[in-house]
Amino acid sequence: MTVAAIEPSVVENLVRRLTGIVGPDGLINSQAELLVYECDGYTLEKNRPDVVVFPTATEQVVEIVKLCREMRVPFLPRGSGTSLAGGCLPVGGGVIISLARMKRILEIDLRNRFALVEAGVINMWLTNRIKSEGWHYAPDPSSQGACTIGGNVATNSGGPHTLKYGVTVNHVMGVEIVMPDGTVQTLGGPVEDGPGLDLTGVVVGSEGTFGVVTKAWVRLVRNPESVRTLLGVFESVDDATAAISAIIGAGIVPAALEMLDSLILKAVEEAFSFGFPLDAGAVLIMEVDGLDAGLGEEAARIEKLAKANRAREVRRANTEAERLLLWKCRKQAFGAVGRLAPSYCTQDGVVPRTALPEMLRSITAIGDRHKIRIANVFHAGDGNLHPILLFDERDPDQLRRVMEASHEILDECLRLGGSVTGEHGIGVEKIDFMAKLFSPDDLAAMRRVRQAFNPDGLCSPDKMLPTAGACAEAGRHKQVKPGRRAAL
Amino acid sequence: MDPTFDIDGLDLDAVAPETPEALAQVVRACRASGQPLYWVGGGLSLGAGIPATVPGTVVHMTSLDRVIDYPARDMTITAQAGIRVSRLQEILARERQTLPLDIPWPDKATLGGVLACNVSGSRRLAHGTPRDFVIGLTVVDDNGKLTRSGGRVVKNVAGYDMAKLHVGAHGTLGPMAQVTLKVRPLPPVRAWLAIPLKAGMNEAAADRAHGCAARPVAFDLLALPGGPAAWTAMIGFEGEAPAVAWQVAKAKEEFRDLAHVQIIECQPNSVDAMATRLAERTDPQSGAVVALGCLPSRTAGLAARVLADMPGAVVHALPGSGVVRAVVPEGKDPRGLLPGWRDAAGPGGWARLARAPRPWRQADSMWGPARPEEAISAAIAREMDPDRIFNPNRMRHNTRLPDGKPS
Repeated sequence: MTVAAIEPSVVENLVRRLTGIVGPDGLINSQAELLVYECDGYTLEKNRPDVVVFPTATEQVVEIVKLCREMRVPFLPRGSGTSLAGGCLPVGGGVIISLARMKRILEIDLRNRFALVEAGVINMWLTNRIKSEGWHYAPDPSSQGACTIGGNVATNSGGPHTLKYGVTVNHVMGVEIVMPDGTVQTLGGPVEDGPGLDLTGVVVGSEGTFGVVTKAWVRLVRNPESVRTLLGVFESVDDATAAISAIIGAGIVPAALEMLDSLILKAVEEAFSFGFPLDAGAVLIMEVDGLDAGLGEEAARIEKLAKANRAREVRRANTEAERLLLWKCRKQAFGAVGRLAPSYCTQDGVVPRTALPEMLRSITAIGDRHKIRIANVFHAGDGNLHPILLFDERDPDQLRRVMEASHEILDECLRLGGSVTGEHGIGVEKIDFMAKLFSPDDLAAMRRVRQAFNPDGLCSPDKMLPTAGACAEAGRHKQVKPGRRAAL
Repeated sequence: MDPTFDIDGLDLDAVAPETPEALAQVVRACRASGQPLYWVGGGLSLGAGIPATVPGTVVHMTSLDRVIDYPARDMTITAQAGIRVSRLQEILARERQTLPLDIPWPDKATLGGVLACNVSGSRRLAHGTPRDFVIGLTVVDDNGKLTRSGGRVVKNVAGYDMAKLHVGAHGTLGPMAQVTLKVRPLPPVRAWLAIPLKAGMNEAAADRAHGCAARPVAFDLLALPGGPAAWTAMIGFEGEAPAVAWQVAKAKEEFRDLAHVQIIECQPNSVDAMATRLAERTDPQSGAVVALGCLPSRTAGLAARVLADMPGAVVHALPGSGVVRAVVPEGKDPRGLLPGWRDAAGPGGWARLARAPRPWRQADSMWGPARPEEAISAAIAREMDPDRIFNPNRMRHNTRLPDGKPS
């Protein structure tokens, strides 16, 4: 559904009744405070919600959802707001249900390999809680110090180590969800293979359009006995991408395989002084893990393949401190991008792994054609690209060129048989691409599933699926306010 | 192919479409007449779920067996759903790749059947279950349109993950025409150890496997009538040669005191097929099989309970995943035992008949007591198959009355 602005008198009544549910400290509705919630990590489109409410328990979420339904007010869940595709954008206003105060780790059961967490638990907290016992939670988006597990469930988040260990959906065993009609359902749980449809599987990645996930049972995994982390230094991006294809093609599944190009290396080196070679065209972080026996041989095979693809040098992280610093450089690379330009826009395309060299060349050509500098730091082993388009938002012409270049990059991903999002989601940003990716029949099938969960469309309206029959709005981004986009 | 086929005692006309478009055409024709469609792949799971009662058309899927695209260096493959598992594995093996699901009777089983019935085996501990391998799916909807979700790249969050609904749906949401899978490299080396356990040691063995220094890809408990011990632990390893050798040695050391007789290292010629053979032990092509689920820590105890209640049964338990299967001995009706096993399975646990003779196949015995979330499944089925033409009655969410009306 497409929602219209809500009448002020309705908002007043809504706030009064929501206060009755969560108390005066459990919501905000002043214009100044709402400013924070007008967008997420995708800042090119903004809209202020009418109220943000902070429930502390599932029962409160139920009351909030029931009230919204009674008053026909749209609502949507929000974690930490690190989404990069506008998944938390309150299109048409309404109520944002922030899960930030539902942040308890309710149960950790290492013997049975699961944890039960509330949706607002920060991803990293879970691993921090169990790492001394030799366990971790595998999905590790680069924003894991800030993003919530509920948000990860919504977008089916990835991360560098998902190459070997899988994305969020592979690690979510069940959820508690407040349905858009206010009923609470428990889908799946720590016992596997329960009879019936895999509803958990389809809720993960539904971007909050099926209801409000309030708890999740997630799988915990034992830490590998041993890790080897290598840094391959290449003269060119072309050589680095050829090495990636060679490693995957050789039947090696590294724990992570990440590429940083020269532009990003410069920014990261300025920020963290790791000692990256600033004259390199690209570097690859190559990590293998598992049992210590044989791991050295596997690392040696990777080194050999890198060198066969013209790696100038392959360094090894000799200490755990060195390894952690290397990963800090990778995961905080986006934070360092601010050194390169006042504004930047990150894309999230995916191509078949063998198409990486061609795709990287296309990105360079697109950047040259639009006179936009593009830095690359991405999950190379998965073929999941994050080209970062650098610009100055104060210059409308640059903004226009950035948007055009972004769209050309995503179109090129599609031409090569890929997708427009590997882990950030469709949100509002990529909704126009859905009709390029899928046929009207494909989208109709998806719409039927949404209809089953969310028949009146009040939960997260105008997300994920384009309105039936609507044409893609050409140039919609030209009218919106630009801004910096935080990134993974 | 025979012009007719027996589904649950209904002698039905059968067709065998050779293209996805022909499959779609069959659906269109049957939708127009309101006639049900029953998909048959390898014919291995005809005893699963609630019996069919409404006459319709049988659709043999095995002519849809083409490989559409196999970019081996991307480690993905796109194939039609009727391809036999053994043929798929042969094609993958030529590129030293594999689909690491342990599918019983791979010469008969089809890819679509495996996905529809959510078949997995020993190595799910390391590699997961069918849901973890499907990255793109084309199904025929109730209007006879081919609809696609996912894609051909290994990481993709565009649109709803429709494949998750279809995997395990027993064809009740429409037939799969084409599947894109991510695949894995064939491990360079594999090994299996068989440890006949001292009496009463199966729980201790499962606990030890949970924290052992070796990292097995499979840890199973197997009860075979007439074996050297009541329970044998089967431990599988795969990976690079040094890692496998180290683990085999380590596991022998770690489990030695639990062994009733000497630990057996399986012969190299039996190693590759071991997981398949284990899966076949509790998936005979006839008779009754019970399946149970519980938390991993309860698995060994639950398996022992099942064996105690059904002496002479073949019982196969996967304590890493909390899954137990058992072949019901001839002459035994296990339906009265299911409620007690559900209690023994503990919170969230389940027990049901995975396959059974027709008279035993009531909704409760096949799918367990109704659960609240089935309301959502029913709503999905109402949306996706309002006239109940897709395998009606197989699962509880797509009930169709004998007079042909959706209930």
